[in-house]
Amino acid sequence: MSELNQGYWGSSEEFTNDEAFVNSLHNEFYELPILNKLSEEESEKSNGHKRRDFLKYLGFSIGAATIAASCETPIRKALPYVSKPDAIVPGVANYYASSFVKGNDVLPIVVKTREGRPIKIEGNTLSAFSGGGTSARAQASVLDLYDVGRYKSPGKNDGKGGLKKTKWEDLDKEIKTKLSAGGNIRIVSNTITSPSMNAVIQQFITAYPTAQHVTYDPYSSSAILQANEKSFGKRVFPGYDFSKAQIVVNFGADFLGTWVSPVEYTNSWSKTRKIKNFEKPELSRLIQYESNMSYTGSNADNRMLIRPSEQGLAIVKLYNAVAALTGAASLPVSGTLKNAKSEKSFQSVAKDLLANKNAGKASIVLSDSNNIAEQIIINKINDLLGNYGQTIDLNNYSNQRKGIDSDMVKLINEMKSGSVNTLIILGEANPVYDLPDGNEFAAGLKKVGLSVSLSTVPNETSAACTYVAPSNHYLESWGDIQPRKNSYYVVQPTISPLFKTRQAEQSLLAWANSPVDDFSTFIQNIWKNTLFSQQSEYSDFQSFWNNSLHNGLIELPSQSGSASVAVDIASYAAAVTKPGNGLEVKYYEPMGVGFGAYANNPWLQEMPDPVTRTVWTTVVHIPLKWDGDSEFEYYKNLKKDGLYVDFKLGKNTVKDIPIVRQFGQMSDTIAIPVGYGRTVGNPSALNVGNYVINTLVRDADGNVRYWNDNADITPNGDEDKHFASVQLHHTMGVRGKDKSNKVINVDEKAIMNLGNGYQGSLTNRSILKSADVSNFTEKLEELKEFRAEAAHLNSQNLYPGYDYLYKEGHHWGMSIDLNACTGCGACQVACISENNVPIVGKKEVHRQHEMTWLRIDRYYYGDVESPNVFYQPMMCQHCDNAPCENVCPVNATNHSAEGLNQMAYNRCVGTRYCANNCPFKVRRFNWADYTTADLFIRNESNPMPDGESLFYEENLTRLVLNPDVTVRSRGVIEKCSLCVQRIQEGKLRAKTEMRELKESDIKPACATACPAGAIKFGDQNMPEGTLKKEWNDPTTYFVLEELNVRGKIGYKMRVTNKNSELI
Amino acid sequence: MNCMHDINIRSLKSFVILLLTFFAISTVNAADLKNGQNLFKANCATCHNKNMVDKLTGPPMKTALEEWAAYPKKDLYDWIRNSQALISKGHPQAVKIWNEYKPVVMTPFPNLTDENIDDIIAYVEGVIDGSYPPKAAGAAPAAGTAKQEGSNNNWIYLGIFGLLAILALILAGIARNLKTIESEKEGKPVEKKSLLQLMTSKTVIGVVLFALIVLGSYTTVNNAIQLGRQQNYAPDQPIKFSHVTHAGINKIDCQFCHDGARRSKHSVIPSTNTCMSCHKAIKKGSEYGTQEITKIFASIGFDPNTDQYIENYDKLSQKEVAKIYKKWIRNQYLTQEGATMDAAGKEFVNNQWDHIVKSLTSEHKKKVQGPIEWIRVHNLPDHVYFNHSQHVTVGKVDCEACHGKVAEMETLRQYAPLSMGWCITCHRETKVQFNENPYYDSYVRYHQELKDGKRDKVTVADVGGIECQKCHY
Repeated sequence: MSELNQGYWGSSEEFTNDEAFVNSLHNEFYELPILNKLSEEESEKSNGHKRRDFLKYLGFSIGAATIAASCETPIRKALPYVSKPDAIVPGVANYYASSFVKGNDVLPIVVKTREGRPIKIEGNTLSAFSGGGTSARAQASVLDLYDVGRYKSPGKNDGKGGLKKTKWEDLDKEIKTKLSAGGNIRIVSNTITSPSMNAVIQQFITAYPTAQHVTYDPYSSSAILQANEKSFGKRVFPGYDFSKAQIVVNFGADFLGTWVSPVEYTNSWSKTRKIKNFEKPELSRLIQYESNMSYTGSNADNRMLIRPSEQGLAIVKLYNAVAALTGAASLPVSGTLKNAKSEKSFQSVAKDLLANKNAGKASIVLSDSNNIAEQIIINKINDLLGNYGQTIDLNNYSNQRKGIDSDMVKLINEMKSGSVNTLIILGEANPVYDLPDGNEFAAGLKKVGLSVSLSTVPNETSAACTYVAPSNHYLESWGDIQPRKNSYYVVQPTISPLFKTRQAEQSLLAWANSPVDDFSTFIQNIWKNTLFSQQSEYSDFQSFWNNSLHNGLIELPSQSGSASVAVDIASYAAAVTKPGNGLEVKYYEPMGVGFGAYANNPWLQEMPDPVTRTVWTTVVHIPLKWDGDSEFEYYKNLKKDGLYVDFKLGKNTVKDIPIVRQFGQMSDTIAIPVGYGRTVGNPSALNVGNYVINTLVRDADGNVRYWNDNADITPNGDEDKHFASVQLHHTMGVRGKDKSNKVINVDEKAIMNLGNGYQGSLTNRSILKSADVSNFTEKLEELKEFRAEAAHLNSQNLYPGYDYLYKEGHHWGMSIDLNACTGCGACQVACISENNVPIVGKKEVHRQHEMTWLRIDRYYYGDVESPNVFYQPMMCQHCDNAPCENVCPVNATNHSAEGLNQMAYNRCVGTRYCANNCPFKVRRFNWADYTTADLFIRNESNPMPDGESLFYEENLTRLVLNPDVTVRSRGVIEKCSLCVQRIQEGKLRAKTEMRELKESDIKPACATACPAGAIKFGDQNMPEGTLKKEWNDPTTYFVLEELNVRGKIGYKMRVTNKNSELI
Repeated sequence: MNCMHDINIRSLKSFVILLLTFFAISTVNAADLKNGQNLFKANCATCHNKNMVDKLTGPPMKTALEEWAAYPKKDLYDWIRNSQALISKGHPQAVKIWNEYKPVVMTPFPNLTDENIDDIIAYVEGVIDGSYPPKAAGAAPAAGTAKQEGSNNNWIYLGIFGLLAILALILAGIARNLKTIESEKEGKPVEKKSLLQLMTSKTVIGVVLFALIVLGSYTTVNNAIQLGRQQNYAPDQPIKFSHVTHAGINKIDCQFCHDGARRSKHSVIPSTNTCMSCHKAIKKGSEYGTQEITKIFASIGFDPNTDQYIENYDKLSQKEVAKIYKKWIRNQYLTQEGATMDAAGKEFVNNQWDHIVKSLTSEHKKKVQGPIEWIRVHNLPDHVYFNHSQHVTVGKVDCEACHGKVAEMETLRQYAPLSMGWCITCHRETKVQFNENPYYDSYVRYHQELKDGKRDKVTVADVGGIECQKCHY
């Protein structure tokens, strides 16, 4: 028996009845209040708070308040503009279309500015490419603008980690002199999607003919490029259209999370996951072959386990199965897969794919494999299935991956031989850190005469270069991007450069002595010569350009053409990877910090990884085995998350990586995220996690392999004392032991003993509802009955309620489609950005003090060996019958006539009764003055454990705060407000325009951020409104509806579309 | 009988027609003037005085109309639409005005139609002869009345308290006398306490202490609530800007300078270039001469000697800046009768410039150039969200309702307490533009109740205006 009868679980603690876990369920706040805690832990330390200190503070604050009261009115100044720009009205936000660019991550966006400073990123809804969605990374990018660690002026590295500042004119002179001295010049960058930047580089190469441009990508797709060159004669990365793919068979690619263009893919994939026909639901199917529980794998319908080294074998086997059904020649293959289920799965998958093809539908088979032979076979499978021209497009290709790994190997060799005189490193490229042979690169760099880094922030590579010519942040820059061949987006500056920086393009133009030295003119020239002629809407260029700036984009129509593999694949069958031995490790790019480039961003560091739910750390995923009852067998007997292991691979040892026990991790394999362990960067990046990239290897083609075999981990007896995983924080279920020490669901037990019909905690709780296409009708009926029963119970009420009030004006609500939601976390970061939610740091998260208003709960269900995953965005449900409101002694939280559960911070005295009484556990308490909002901050010692710095301490960082939302101080509770500031703004807009409110007037931050369009906000009182439609959907349910709390966030059931033959 | 009937009907008919005509005429007139007023405010009030008789940047409307009356009306239309064209054609009146007012050019208004201009003229004439705006019965401010009542109540309470106190004293006296009589009857020695003994008795001390504690706490709490409130706060500003001169005498509309009030949360302290739209022409003040207005010039970099904006003003040294404006102050000083650049004159110029520098610089701003550091008079706590446009544009609340008679304030003073109680009281009493604004159509029940006569008004509080998260988020 591999399936659990109780349905959903979040961690193995829930089966084993771990004591700490059970305790945490009973306590909303699992630790003592902060002063007690500090006095306990640090009483012996000199900087600890003691009772006498407390008295001192007390005396001081009373004294200070008295003095402050008797003092004169503090003088506050107001500085108007000297000449007010026409576009700016103080107090009113301006929006500019632009594009997010960081390394090879790009996305069309709209930037919200207040009084000229960017404070929020929104999606560009005009873009078909992104569908108006964003990613967590794009949302967080606005904070990078105000990063205190940024380069503030050009300079020369002094070799001791410092920068000797210079003037731009002097720097230009020195660099130009050295450039014109001759010798080989190399420009290194990640993939550049900007046509104008490419033109700038071309111009530079024309000026210095010895220059060459070398492109690489940290998470490389060079095998796909090379395979496409061999298969079709085109070295391009294909454009994928998931919206037309009925079946996706995926070998390891994390296309929903981090792989190449996740927002584009999530947007198109989620279109196929929304149920429109409730009689006979039509959903696409995602079949994932992988060893670790990847983020995309967690969203798969069927997850098949294969070892990382078995991927080649599996691809050939799938090919043979498809070939057998289509009559194509089969490939020689030997060996079987370790996992028996996976071994016999290929016939069923092939049958599925072919049936789909014969029904006239398309599919996608893809892999992130960096092995050329494997990618060629994948191409052939897609060819056999007729996917080229339907779901895979080589005409309107993607520009987002162009790097060839072997070019980098060549460059390193050149550098080491001393034949490179000048090296220019563009943008976010950080080869010293993110190449497996980064130390070789660093060694080569020492032999290069002139090395210039154009990075915005200090990184391992820029610190090793002789000169730093810092580029602007993208919000200070001009530019353009062309992520797909026919889609062009503008990057326009929304603020003047904060520091003495100059954008990279401008620097290159200056060094190349370009006749056009202004980059914005340069772009306009490029657009005039290339794009303007391709459209017919505008007759003069200026109006074309103005309109492009306004909309931020030009998306030209495209025709996708079919293609067929023009190479005999038989020769490649032997070149696929051979199964490896021993413990195998899969490296993956984490959602937050990426390949290290985002490690500077505390918003992303504190965004829990969707699967492991850890923050601020590298983790080793280790497999676990279940005996079918209540015992688990953990790899190497590692019984607790956060225990340290030493990771050994060949000669390399990485010490002290904490582990997580991961469901769905194949036995004898582990997984490790890259991107941590930065040694140069701001405080958010330093000393966070472990550096593992040096344990990666390249294959014979020079391509980086993102897995390894013969690895080893050894527990070293130590553990991470501040291991921060939010998985067990704020859990909602009620469980406990019965007399025989068995875990039971307390609610179920109560029903058995006391009979049905009681309200509150004595009924079976409805938090998660899921179904499969196969039992959809049945589950729908079940849900209908359940809701009818709940409605009946809830109607047995003595109190008249306030419905007459809610029917007037507005009655807000929300709908979240759990089937479209993939759990990416964009909404969470958008919420942090919009609502000034504090970042608290690793140690505070460890103490369950994280402040996020919106969390994404992750549950497992189904097969324990390879479970399905359920993501549930959870925030304040704005209950119309809210338990938190009744218990507040000072009425700081109460209900509005529009149905909002209001929180008045200045009234809150911090009893935390509300948080204890909230069944959804969504209320957060400000344990410390995280945002430094208090008046007397400088008179207190730092409240953070071990003197960690507060993230909003610097004035520069505080520029990102939203001026329309109060910055909360210590001692108050806060929670989701449904973006009340946006509601008020939208209402005001309607009122000033003397019209009725439209739905488009109000969109909360989470709803606008979602790349899947899963979150919808609306007014229940709007007759033909979205909310009416969404809530009438038979799959909609309300969490804990039976408690009669009358929450207003409707959730739509999660439905899988499993291939039953694969179970 | 029949005849009578007929006559009656006829006279009724004519009466009705008469009535209708009257209404028609009066409504047409009213609309014209109203429109004229709006157009005047939007287009003309910047340069022409609202009282129509005094000079501002442009000539007073009264004289202008009198003078233009001698020419065909079309000439005036042309003048308003493009004055420069008319001047170059050599129109005598146009040339006359130009000679008087140059180099100030009248802004051309090519978009105004003949009807628009007629409306404006009608409005101007209405203001001149005092027939517009029509006198409405003065609505007494509600808040004022409430206050009156409150103080009345206090007197009543005080009176009752006094009466009771006297009563208590009398009763105590009677009781004591009775006790004495009783004691005398029983033959006990009469214990007569001295006043000191009485005053130091436990009961009296206890009562007094109790009263002190109650009173003390009451005052403390009441005063603590007042902490941080700044009613009547009137700080000295870097520029002795007089609302009396601007809003009072010259009747400049509040929202001409505070242009954020209609569209933003902030009413906005006007930027220096807003000042310049008038002060390019008015370079000396009625009260302080060059002293205050030169501050505007020195902030933005306008050279009053040449009537030009200074190129790269930001980069000039403090010495160079001083040179420009001292020259201006000196020249203006010399225009006074009998003034020469003697020691007194030099001292005058230097003192005035030093004062200007002091006003325009601070600890954080070392340069004269750049924004003027006004002192905020109205301060709300950070946790309060207030939006001007909500009140001004949507609620149609007069500026004076919260800011008092600013037009009479030489130095701006905070009129209202800006306390939460003050906000809430107003929200409870003020009617929203319920029938006028289609936004409120979704309040179906209220509309029905209004129609049925069950309700006579919808206040801000009725539409949720006193809920926490209308102002705190």
